[in-house]
Amino acid sequence: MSRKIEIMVGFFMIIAICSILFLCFRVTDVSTFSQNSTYRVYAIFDNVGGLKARSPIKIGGVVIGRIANITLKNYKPYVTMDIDANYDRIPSNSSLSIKTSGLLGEQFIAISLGIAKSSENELDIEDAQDRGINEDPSVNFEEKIPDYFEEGFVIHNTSPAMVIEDLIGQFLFSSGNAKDKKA
Amino acid sequence: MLNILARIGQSGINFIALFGQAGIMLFGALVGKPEFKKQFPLWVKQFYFVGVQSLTIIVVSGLFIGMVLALQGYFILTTFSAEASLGMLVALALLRELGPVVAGLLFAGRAGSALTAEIGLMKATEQLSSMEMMAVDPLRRIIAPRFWAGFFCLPFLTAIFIAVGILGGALVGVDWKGIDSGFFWSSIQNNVDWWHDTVNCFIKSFAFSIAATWIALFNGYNSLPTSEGISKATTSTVVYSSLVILGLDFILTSLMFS
Repeated sequence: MSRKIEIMVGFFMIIAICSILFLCFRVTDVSTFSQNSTYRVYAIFDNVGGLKARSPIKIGGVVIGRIANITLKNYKPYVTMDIDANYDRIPSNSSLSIKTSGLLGEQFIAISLGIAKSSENELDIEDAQDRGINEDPSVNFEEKIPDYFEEGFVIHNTSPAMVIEDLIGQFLFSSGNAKDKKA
Repeated sequence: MLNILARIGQSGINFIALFGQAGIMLFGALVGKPEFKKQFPLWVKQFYFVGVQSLTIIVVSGLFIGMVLALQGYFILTTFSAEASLGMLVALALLRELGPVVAGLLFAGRAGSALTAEIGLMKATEQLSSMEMMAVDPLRRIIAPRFWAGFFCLPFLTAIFIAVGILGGALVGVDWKGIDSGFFWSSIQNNVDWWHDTVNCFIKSFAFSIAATWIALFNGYNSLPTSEGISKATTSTVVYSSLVILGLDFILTSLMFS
């Protein structure tokens, strides 16, 4: 009797451990669990729309990182992003835009790649280093802008999320103006 | 008038004293010199009674709940032609709410009532007091192994329940309704978060296992030593542990997902 009980309990434990492993490896994506090394960059937007923490960051549709959190800094949305350390050759003049997957899907940040090591005069990025925030930007203006995204880099070259109400409003406003001109 | 007031006060004091007794019982059972070697055979036996014997009902109901969830979800999602995300629906519903709660309710009905009846009968036949006469602490000998067995078995049973439920959902969605199995599994993997969903599921499950086992053991230990007392204690075990599980679930969900 005791031997039978032991065998049954062992059987039960094995099934339980198998289902925990199943939940860990088949149901939960293990790559989100194993912490790949990432580096942190920041971006300042005018409007983040429906972006949330843990929204994906994509280049050409491929997820390369996730948003860590979104706060306000100087009353502008300040997005902290963790990018996979494998992708460390993103040119620093790349621009970020907020896009929507599908018509009703969730929003994500799309990076459109810039040109690496272009002449620095043409860069849209004005003050590149995070430590320049507290000081007068003109002091830091001549500081060297890194060629690629790196830890602590602040991206200013961003375009705001499209808010559909604003678009409709602009459309109605402009079509109203056109009618006035005709009359 | 004064009598009514006195009776209300009496029942209030009794109610608070009940909590005190329950706390003292658990404290007496769990705090003390660990005796793993001596207690190990008792643990294995309780794992058998509490865990293995609940396995059938957990597996069967998990299978059917997963299958019916997939079927209903399929009917609704096809109206939006979004049936590719059926896997996500089944997995998240099971992991976040249905798994811990339904497994907890079944556990309270299957194992909790059995624990209460067993301990109540031991009390009615004065086995507990005769143990005390033999200088064996009934709290350590009877209550503690049952508590630990319940504490560890419910999360295990929950894991089995969810795994079987998701497999049942896959059975209906992929094999019957013909959703592509790649879509089904990738929508699960992309949307289930390790911390947010899986770990929270087990936190919930451990909270329910403590509540359900504690209520069952205390109701048995505190029952009137008559046949009516045992039946009353068994009923109140099922009622109270179901209510506590549902209430705790609301509190934990509002803490975790806000």
